[in-house]
Amino acid sequence: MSPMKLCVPGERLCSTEDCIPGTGTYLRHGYIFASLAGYVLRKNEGEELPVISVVRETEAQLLPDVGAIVTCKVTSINPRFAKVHILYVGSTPLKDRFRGTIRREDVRATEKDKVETYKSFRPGDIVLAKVISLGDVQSNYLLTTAENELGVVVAHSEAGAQMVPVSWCEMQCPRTHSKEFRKVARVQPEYLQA
Amino acid sequence: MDATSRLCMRTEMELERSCPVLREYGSEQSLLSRPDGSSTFVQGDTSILAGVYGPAEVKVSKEIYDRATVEVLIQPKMGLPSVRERAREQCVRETCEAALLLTLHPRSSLTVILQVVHDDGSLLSCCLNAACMALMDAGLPMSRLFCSVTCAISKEGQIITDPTARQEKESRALLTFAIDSNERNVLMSSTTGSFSVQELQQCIAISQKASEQIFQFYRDSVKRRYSKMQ
Repeated sequence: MSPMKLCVPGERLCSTEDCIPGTGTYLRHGYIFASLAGYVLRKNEGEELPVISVVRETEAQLLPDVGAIVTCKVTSINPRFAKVHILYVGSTPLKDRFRGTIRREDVRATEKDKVETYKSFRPGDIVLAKVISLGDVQSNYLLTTAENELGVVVAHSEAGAQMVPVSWCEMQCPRTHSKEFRKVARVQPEYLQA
Repeated sequence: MDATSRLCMRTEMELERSCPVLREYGSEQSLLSRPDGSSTFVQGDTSILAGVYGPAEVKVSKEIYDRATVEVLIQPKMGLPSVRERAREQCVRETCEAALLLTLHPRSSLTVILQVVHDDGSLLSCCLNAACMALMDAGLPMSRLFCSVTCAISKEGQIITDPTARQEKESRALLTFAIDSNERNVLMSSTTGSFSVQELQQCIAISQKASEQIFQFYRDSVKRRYSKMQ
């Protein structure tokens, strides 16, 4: 079993007397050439000659599903909802950013009518949220932070320093000691050891 | 050691012999009334008219929450912008993004419009120089200035700085570099044709040497302009 060999488009792989061309290759003047950049794969499919093909690193695009815990960055705020960009699904980073919405009613589970969005999130905050719906025609995911483990995990103060959570609704700047309102996520035990 | 010394000496002689000669260039600022900043830049017979608008309101789809969005439009002399203009726009936009302090204007847009008045070679260099003068005229905060020099390599291997359109057509390689004013680093490079690594290094050295003249011209024109205002 030879190690995986890299190839680039236009590279001559072998002769037609040795292999049969597969996907990602083409035939010219009795030789098989690569038409893709990737790994050379040689496979015996029961015929007398093996099939040679070029495969690329086809990572399946991970989509947020209902119930998934996602990591988002808040982009804009208005009194009814917060717009976010979904960056991670679980611990897997996404190649493209998806847009999501955290409605005012989904910020916390209690006292829903007293929620003020600008006291829960600020633009630039990193938020843990859960997907509750795939959204509407604008393809915005609907997210919720109405659990103790969901909410803001990283926030920066006006002085630019990363703030420290002091309660479930407040964060404090270590430099200026000013407090700002946030819907704070409960700190996980594995991060307390660090 | 001796071979290296001889090679360095030969390279220095070649650099001195091919001391970069730029065509006559000139510039004027604040010549348009509507834009926030405007300038024209002339290199030989190549002429570009630049206008800068902003900071202004940005579309929701192009909004970036922590910095400004830079948009560059290049209008050719005749016809509509095509793929060639789009490629040049990308070069100019990325150079401007590297020089401007965009974090001071979040959620806004800066628009640079470059109108080609005449094209006689080194068009991308003239666009970049006109854009830099226009950004200075608009008063936008920048971390550094930039200027651009084009080098053409003829079929005999001779390096021509600031080539004309005919010299560009007859050359086998064309290299354009954007040089910054702080450390003379290369901010952007755009190349076509075939050349060797030594020729690339020589072109970069010649461009860095030629950029001294353009930066001195920037300084002189700004000095003259602000001394006249007193």
